[in-house]
Amino acid sequence: MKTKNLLFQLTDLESLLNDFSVEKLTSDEAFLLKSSFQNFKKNLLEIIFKSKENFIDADPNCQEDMLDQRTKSFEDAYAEIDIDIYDAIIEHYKSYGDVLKELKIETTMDKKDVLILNGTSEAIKTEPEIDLSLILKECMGEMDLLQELITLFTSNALEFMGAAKIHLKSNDFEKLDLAAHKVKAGLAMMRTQSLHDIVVQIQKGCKLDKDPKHLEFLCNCFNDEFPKVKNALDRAYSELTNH
Amino acid sequence: MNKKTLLLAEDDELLASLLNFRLKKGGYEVNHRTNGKMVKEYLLENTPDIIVSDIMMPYFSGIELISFVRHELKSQVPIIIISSAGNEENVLNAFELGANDFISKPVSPSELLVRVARELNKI
Repeated sequence: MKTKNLLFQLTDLESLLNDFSVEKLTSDEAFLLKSSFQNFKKNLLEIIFKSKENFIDADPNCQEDMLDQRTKSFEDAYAEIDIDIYDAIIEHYKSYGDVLKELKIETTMDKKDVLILNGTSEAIKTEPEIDLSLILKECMGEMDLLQELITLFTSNALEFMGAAKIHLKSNDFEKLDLAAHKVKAGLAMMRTQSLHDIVVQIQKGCKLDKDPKHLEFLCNCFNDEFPKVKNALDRAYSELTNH
Repeated sequence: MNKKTLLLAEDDELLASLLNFRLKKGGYEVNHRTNGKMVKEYLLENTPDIIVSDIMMPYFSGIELISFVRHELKSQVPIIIISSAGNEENVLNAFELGANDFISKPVSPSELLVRVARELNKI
């Protein structure tokens, strides 16, 4: 398959993913999948345009030779980007935690695809891990204060979820951005990285593309992730009280 | 010995709870206000030894607060600004208006205590 054809197919696929059905894919899975394809497309575009610039600047007599060379270079590049893109996908997944902790890098794309999907689904089943010992240290060992902070954290997150729903309905991105800003510091303070990352994306979305569908998707990600984080927090708290 | 008074202007209850607790443990008399209007009212009747304020607050931002303290109240009380990461423009603005120091979120209470003590020692 030519690289360009592959690019067109990916573009079609990406546009379909924008309308993905949440009933069939979990929001986390869809988000990761979409981002992976975007990385893939970006890398392909870079290679195609870089090569095209060289081609246009060349002497016409040399263009036929260059076409052959380009075909070969595309093939070589395709082999190279397999690894680059794979690394990019790994990096991307790593930003969501220990998603690919168990994943071993293989050399063929088919095997990689299977491993990526396996790694992702495993990670999605896993609840986030939260270490409250650092916050307890900041609380100077006061469990009552820690409990109060968890209660406030919960109420802030719930308030954000409610506010986000209202602001999305009215397409008020400025207020959504403010609500995200307000909840962000608390998420960082409680070391709830996954929720913090989503809120950062929501803020970016409110400032840059202002795409209601994408923002709704991100807010749904937050809503899906919150119960997992809350469970992890409660578990971490009871572990501390049991010690 | 009288305790130093500190005005904590922070609308995030979660962060404020932790800071309030640690600052009190650190020996300060903490007056916590959750919005700019309450901060302004407090400052019209009281003179704290130091102010710790978030930049983004309802009604009256941290930037407006600095301007109010320096230009209307003509006070040189030390002001430490709490700012989110990526808010460099506001931080620069705060320094230009007369803020003494800033600390970025997520705030480490231990670091804030050190910064508060350092500012008070300068007086």
